[in-house]
Amino acid sequence: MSKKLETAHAGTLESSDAFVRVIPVDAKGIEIELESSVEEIYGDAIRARVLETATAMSVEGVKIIVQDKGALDYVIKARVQTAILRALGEAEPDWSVL
Amino acid sequence: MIDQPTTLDAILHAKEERARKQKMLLSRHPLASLISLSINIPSLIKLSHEAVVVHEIAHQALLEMLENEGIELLACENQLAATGAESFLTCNAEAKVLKVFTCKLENSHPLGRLMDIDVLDSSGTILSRSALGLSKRRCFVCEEEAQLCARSQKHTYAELNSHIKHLVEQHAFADSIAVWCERAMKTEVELTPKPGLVDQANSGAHHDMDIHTFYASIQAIKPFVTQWIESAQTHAHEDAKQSFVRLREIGIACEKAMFGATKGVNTHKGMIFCLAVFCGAIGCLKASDQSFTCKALQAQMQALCANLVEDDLLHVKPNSAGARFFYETGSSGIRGIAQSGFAIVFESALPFFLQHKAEEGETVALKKTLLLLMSRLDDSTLWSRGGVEGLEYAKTKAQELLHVTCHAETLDAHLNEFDTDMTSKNLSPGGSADLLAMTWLVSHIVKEL
Repeated sequence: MSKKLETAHAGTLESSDAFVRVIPVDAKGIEIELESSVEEIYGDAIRARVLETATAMSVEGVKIIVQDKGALDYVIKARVQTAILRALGEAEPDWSVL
Repeated sequence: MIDQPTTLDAILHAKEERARKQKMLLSRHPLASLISLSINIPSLIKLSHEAVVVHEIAHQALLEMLENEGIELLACENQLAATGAESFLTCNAEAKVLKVFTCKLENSHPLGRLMDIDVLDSSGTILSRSALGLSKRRCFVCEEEAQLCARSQKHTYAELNSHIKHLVEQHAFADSIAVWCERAMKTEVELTPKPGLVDQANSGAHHDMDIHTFYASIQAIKPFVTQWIESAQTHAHEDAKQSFVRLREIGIACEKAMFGATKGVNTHKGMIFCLAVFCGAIGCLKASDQSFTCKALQAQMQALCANLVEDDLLHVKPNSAGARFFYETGSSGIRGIAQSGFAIVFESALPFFLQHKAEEGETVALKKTLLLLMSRLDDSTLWSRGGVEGLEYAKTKAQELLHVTCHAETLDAHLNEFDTDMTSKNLSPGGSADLLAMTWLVSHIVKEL
C-alpha cells in the first residue's frame, strides 16, 4: 500500500531521547539515515529497530532521519511510530493497531 | 502527585512539550540563552520524593551560580508534574559560557550527577559537552560512560533508585525532611471532606482563612524545618532540655514567619510545635547514627519534652490557650501529648492508619484516622470554640462514624454531613488535624514500627 505522506517529526534532542524526521521521497522502500551518540555499539541495532517499526506500519517511499541521543529501544520505536503517524496526518495515534 | 507512577507515553509527550516550551521562551528574548533543568530519575515514577528534593536544590544552586558569576537572569519558571520536575532560566549570557558553569555544577555538586542541565543557545540548539571539549557524563553507579550503561540497561531500576535514595539521604537529609514535612501538611489540608476544617471544598468553621492561606503558611514554615534539623544535629550531644530551648527559639521565629505569610491568621501554630519536636528528635537520631524506629523516635521526643506539662502549665499563669484549657478541663493538651512522646500517634493513630491504608488506600485511611484522633483527643481548639459541650459533641460524633462500616462514597456523605454540623456549631478539630499530619509524616519516615 502507499498512503500519501507529509514531512513530519517526533521526539527531541535531549539525552535519552531521539529526534525522528520522516520525509517522503521519490523512490521505493525505506531509507534510513542515523546519527547516534552510541553509533559504534548500537548503530546496527537502532537501524534494524527503525526499519522493523516502519515496515510494520506499511509505509514506503520515505526517508527516516534519526538523531539518537542514547534512547532505549522502546523510545526509538515510539518516536518512529509517532513521526510516521504524523506524516500520515493521523493526529491521535491508535496504539491498538500498532 | 509525588511518588505516583506515570506512563511512557506521558513522559515522551512531556519531553516534546519541554522542547516546545524552550523554543517559546527563547522567542521572547531573541538574544538570550536558556538553561533547562530536569532531574535524572530512571523509573516510571519520575516525580519521586528524591526528584522533588534534588530539583529544589538544583534550582537554588543554579540561581546562586548566576548570582555569583554576575549573569543577568531574564526569566525563571519551574514546574512539577507527574512526568518530572523542571526549571527554565532565561539568561542574558552566551550559551557556551553558561554550559561551562552548568557542567561545573553537574561535576562538582554532590548531587550533580542527578541533575540534567541543558543549555540552549539563541537558535535553540542544545549545546553538547563534547562540543566544548568536556568529557561525557559517567554512569552514577559504575564508572562506565552514562549513555552506554543506560542503553544496555546494565543496572536495574531498583539498583539505580536505591543509589539515588542513598545520595539524597547522605547529602540532602534536612532538605528531604523539609519536603516530607511540606507534603504532610499539604496532605492534611487537601484531604476532603473534613469536619469543620479547611479543605479543598470549603473553609469549614474558619472565616478568616482558606486553603491558599494554608499553602502560604506551609511555604513559610518549610525553611525552618532545615533549621530545626541542623540545630539538633549540631547539638545532638547536649542536654535534651537545652535542645528543646533551641528548638523553641527557632519555633518562635517560625510562628512569626507563619503570621507574616497569613496576615496574622493562626493556621499552623500547633503544627509548628509538633514539627519542632519531631525534627529535633530526627536530627538527634541522625547525628548519633541511630535508625528511625518508632521506639527510638518516641523516646527521643519524650526526652525533649520531659516535664513540659509541669514547666509550662503547672507553674505559670494561664496566659496561653493551652494553659487556660488545662486550668478549666484538667487536660494537659498538646504539651501532655508531646511529653508522652506523641504516644497517641505511635500507639493508636499510626497502626490504625497503616492497617486501613493497606486495606482501603491512603485517602480513606486518612479520613478514618482523623475520626479516630477526634474521638480520642481532648482537642483544645474544639474546646476554645465550643467549650466542654462542643468538645464532647465532636468526640461522640467521630466515635459514632468510626463504627459505621461503609464504602468510600458513604463515608464521604457522612463526613459532609458532619462538616455541615461542625461548621454551623463553629467547631474545628485543629489539634486532631495536626496529629493526622504527624501520623502521615511518621509513617513515611520510620524504617521500622
